[in-house]
Amino acid sequence: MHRYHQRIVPTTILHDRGKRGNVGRNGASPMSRKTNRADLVIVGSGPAAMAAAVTYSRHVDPSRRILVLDELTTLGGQIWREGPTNRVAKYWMDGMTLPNIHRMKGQVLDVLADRPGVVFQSPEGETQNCLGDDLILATGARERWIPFPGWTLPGVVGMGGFQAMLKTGLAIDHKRVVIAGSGPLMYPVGRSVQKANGQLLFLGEQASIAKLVYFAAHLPAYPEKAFEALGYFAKLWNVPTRLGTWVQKAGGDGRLEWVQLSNGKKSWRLDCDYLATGCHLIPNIDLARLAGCAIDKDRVQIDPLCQSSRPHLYAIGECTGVGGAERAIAQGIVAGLAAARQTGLAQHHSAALPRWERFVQLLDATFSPRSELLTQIEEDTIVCRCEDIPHGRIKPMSCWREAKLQTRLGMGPCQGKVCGPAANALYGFKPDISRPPVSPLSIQSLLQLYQSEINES
Amino acid sequence: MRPVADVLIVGAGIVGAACALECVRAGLKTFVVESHIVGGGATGAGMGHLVVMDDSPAQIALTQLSCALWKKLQHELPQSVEYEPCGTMWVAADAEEMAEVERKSRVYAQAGVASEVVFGKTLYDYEPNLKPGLSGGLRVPGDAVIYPPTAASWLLDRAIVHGSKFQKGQMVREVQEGGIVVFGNGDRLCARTVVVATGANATVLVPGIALKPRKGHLIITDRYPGHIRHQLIELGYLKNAHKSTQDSVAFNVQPRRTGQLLIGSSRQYGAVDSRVEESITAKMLERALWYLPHLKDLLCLRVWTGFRAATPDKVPLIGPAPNPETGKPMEGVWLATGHEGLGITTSLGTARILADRLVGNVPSIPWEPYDPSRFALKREDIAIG
Repeated sequence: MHRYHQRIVPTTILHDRGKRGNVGRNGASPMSRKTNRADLVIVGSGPAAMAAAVTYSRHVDPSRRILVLDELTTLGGQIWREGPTNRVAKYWMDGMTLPNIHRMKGQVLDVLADRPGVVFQSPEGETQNCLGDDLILATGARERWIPFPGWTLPGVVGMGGFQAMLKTGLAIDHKRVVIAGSGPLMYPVGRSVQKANGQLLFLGEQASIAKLVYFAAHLPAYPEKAFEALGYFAKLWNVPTRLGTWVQKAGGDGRLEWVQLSNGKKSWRLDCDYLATGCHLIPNIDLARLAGCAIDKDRVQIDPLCQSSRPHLYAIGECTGVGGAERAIAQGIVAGLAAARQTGLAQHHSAALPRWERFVQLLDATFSPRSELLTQIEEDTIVCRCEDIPHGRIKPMSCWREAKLQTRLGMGPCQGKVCGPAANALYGFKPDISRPPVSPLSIQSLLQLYQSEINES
Repeated sequence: MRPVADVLIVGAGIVGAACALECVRAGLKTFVVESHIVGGGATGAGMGHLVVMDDSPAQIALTQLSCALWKKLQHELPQSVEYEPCGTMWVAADAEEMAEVERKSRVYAQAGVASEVVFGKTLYDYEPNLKPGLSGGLRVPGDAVIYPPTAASWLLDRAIVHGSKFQKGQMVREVQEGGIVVFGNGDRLCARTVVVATGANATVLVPGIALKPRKGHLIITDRYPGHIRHQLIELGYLKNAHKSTQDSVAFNVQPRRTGQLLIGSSRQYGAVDSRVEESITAKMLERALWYLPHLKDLLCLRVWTGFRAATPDKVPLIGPAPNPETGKPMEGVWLATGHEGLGITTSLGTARILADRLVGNVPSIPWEPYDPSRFALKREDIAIG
């Protein structure tokens, strides 16, 4: 049922009246700033974001405007980067062609403090405020790295990163690939390697057999996932696979040449050209943190209708917990309905969510790093890749802040995005609260970001 | 209560750490207490510029003494302290500022500090990325740059090697006459002299001292080695540092050994929370961009804030703390704080003066200008500026 909406929502872009040009020594003329006014602003364009955008669009007046902001050119987030993998994906991608859904490629620099909006920058460097009546964060998840000796050698890549490289044309014809780490991501990556004609030598999952048996026993409660898993097993059945097996070290002369694996009883080496590794995924919560949303156990906290602790701000998908595309879509539908003020329908659909919350817990418990991963690290194993800081220098530190000040851990370009989770796993450090910029920004863009915020306040 | 030491230093920032080393070397039994982490306050937030500053005779004397001490120390410092003798370039935008350059060079010459007056073209030979059309500058080759948190931990480690005791993790909530410190959990320690070196928070422990926090912002960029060679400061810097009622910004950019640029500076009054504030940071960036236009394309990694400890006359408090009621020196309680933007530089000079006074030696520069009694009983007359 479409709710007829009488208010005319202005969707004009307001241009700043100040002059561009020579900035006086005392900063006389601010750089130009625009406000892009919409009804719903969504950050991300993966399964959750698409479900929210399409659902919202179908339940409101066609005059409503939806902005979908993402860094990627392709639709579908990380999971569907290669294009829709099934009918479900295709359904939502087709829905994104609805006329009132506007996609913009660029970077979200910050979340506005007191209203549902973000500061957005196009690849050309133009900054604007994107404002809505509601804001939905669907910022996804990223790989977790647990450092091991040799992990910084060329040829050692994250599983998701490897898949992205294959998509953008990395040629691995007959190259020998080992996939070893943790998490269900290794199966689609394994398939990608096969499709690209790589030699998939080995699949290694560090989770113990006991944990995996428990996982398998609970999988039938999620028939979609069980079916998906069977699909992968069918294609990968002849690839040597070991459970309870992990990478002890990687080695080679200037480049990856071999990987040493262990199952706790014996170790062995495999010569290879690529190692795709990583220990499951962690939610991307930096923007939610900047927005002041409550965070618990490194996941954005949400209520049954996917609302965060901030009014008119929703969080959906992997940033609320790593649980897969089906969960993300279910959440997207709920948030889309809630933002469209279809509360009754939203509540009806939200009944599907607790089951998926249990799946998140199941994944988390199954694919958490085993103790050997945390203790096999050596004195000279690099922990902070940006600043080349070895484990031996960080070990004696008492907390993240001391390690940061004394060793410069987390002070490089990644600002703790890679080494922060590693330091948390290895030493129990809790990295600092995020501050803008969320990613490195040019000084010019930073200035525009601040000027947007001054003008908005 | 039995004294645990001759000197008990509260706070292991760079000032406290430097004092610990000098005291222990002077033969005093020393104990340092730190509530959180070494160098975790202003020491970890600031720029680490070792500079001779000519704001007043007392300031020149203290900064000059300190810079000489740092120079002597430079070859002992580990790599992690990143000592870089890059020098300072005071930048003059116009003829009026060039006149100030000439005056400044005479002041430095009188103090025995080498400096070079630089005109137009030579300025750009030294610093090609400066905006065209500037008049010139004053180059001070003896100034340097360090990374303060590791300097503080190195100084403290040396003090410990020489016999100082160190306790971490307990916060001092009160300091009493007679050299007594009371911790948050009720524990007490006593020493012949307690030295409060806690920076802007010293007013919590010794109420009524002439100290106010002065908030600053800094930005660090990604690596751009060679973009600038010296620490670049505008000549208006001191004028801005003087403004007692207005928030202000001044151009001050530092090259680090990594090739990263540290961009400052800002000063605010009355601000008490450490949130990054958009408007003053924007002003600071605009000012920096005016002098270094290519900065606009450099990547910024992080923005943060810190609090300097400021006194009314820009000169630190080194000596017995005045009792807030009577104005008389407190028995067994000394101050080593109020260094404003010069704490890293003057940590070594402060420590020398402090240790000399404690053992009864005559310090190499007069100690009276830094004695806290200069503010005693005059609180009503003081405008912090």
